[in-house]
Amino acid sequence: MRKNNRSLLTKYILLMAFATIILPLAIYIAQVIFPEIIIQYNVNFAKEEMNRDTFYNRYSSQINMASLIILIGIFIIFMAVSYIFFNSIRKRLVRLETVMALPEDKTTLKPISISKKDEIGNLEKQFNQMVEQLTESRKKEQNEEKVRQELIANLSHDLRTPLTSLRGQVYSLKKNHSDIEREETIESIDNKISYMGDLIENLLSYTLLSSEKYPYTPERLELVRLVRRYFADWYDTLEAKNFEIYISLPEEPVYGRIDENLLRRMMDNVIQNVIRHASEGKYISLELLPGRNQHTLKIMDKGPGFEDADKNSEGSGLGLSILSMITKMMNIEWKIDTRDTGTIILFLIDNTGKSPQ
Amino acid sequence: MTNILYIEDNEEIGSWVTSELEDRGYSIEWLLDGDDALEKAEKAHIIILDVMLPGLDGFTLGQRIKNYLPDTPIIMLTALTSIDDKIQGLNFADDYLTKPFHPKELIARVEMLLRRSGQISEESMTLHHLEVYLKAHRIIDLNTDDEILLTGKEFKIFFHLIDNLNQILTKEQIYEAVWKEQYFEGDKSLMVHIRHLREKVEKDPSDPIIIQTVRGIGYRVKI
Repeated sequence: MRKNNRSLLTKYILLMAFATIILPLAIYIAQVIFPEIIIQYNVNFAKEEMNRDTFYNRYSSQINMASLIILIGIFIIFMAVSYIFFNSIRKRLVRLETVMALPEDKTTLKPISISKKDEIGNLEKQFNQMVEQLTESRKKEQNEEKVRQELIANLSHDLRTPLTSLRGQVYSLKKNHSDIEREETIESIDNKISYMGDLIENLLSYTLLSSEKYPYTPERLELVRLVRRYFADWYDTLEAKNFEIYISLPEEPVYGRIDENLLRRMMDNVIQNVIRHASEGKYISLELLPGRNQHTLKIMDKGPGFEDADKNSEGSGLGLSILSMITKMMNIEWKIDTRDTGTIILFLIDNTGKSPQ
Repeated sequence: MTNILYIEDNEEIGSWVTSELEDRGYSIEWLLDGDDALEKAEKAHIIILDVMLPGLDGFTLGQRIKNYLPDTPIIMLTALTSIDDKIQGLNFADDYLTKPFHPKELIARVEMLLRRSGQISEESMTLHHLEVYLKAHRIIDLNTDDEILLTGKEFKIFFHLIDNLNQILTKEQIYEAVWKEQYFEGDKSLMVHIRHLREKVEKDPSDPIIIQTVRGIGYRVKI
């Protein structure tokens, strides 16, 4: 990039050197114009009739004239060369300026053709790179904007739906007289409230994750204890919902490079989804299968599955986006297989390095 | 009577939490901001602290209270995301609850922390055929009126489970709390001690009802 750094200067010096060579050329031209001076000079010197002083005295006006012409000539050549040189630079700079100036619509900057391989050429190259980066980031921005708008649209739907049913339920509470009905309605209202709380939580996580502000400190950790502890927190809830729970964790330590909080978030997310969308199946299994290179964390339910993650409302789209961001951060590959008889999610966690024994 | 210091700036939430806790027989001091918190905290057995407060925020305030009164448990009321966000800021807290929390959940956490920190209000509790004296750390079999004597480890395991009543504790958690050393997957000594413990406290050790096994996870004592 810096190779051509001085090429403009070199070019100018070369041009000037060329202009200086004009001087002997000018003398030669002078000879052609005033041949008698040279002839006289040579003849007189040859005859040794005349010393230098008398020669100068006799031809002083012609000599002065010639010197002046030479000087003026050199000066004009200098001026001309400099003018041409700087004018060409000026033109290129003006061109660059016109291109760089933000156009009327203020959206697109176009890349510019590179004129020469010199400093200005480099400038143009840099400019092109800048334009490219700008276009790229603008594209990214537009994309993010689109995602955000969709998210907000989905979210307001996801929030409005439970709010509507909340209102309906509160209304029916006023009318209901049977205690059992009342009890059921209150229970359902309570669930809706937790659901909305989770939804807002997910939204915040999503925002943090997508702006890359989520703290991430990966460490080599023992997975069995973490997985067990995180699952334990859900056990009561699952039990209360009459889930059949199957757990299979290895008897020996299993190590992986993960971030504790993100792993927890990941598991919470999946289990929450199971409770929310697959409780009809009344079944959840959690397995950790150690492997030589990769460990597999498998969570399975027997719920009705979901056909299209994006179109499935009730906020699971958001949950899946969070999952994919979390797994991406931790370098965990994940697979999801969903059918109408159940859903299996696999997380492949790299086994980095050896265990401490 | 157990004193609870509760700092919450939202009037609506504050008043229902206060009345809910008062119904449970606690004495509540509810502050709208953290100005006099340090002073009032001296008398409190437990502190419930909201994160979003006018003036001094809950994180800073909680940290100060913890430095001043390291033995008083603190429960933070916060959004989960800010826990992730300020994970360091929350290290001092003994527990946290995310909004919107359930009043039942709050009461359960308060009771658990009180039990854990030894500031229990009740003298004893009945667990099936056992009467457990929480302050005296004695266990009486109600069928025979005999005291059940446990060895040191059994005693520690039993009361650790009682301190975390209704909570599932993983093998690691129990082992590390009782043995005070790192647990390695596959260690059988905890299982052996639990078996001996059950022979003493359970009516039918082959079908335990007091110390429940949660398959694949750990153990719990549940009422």
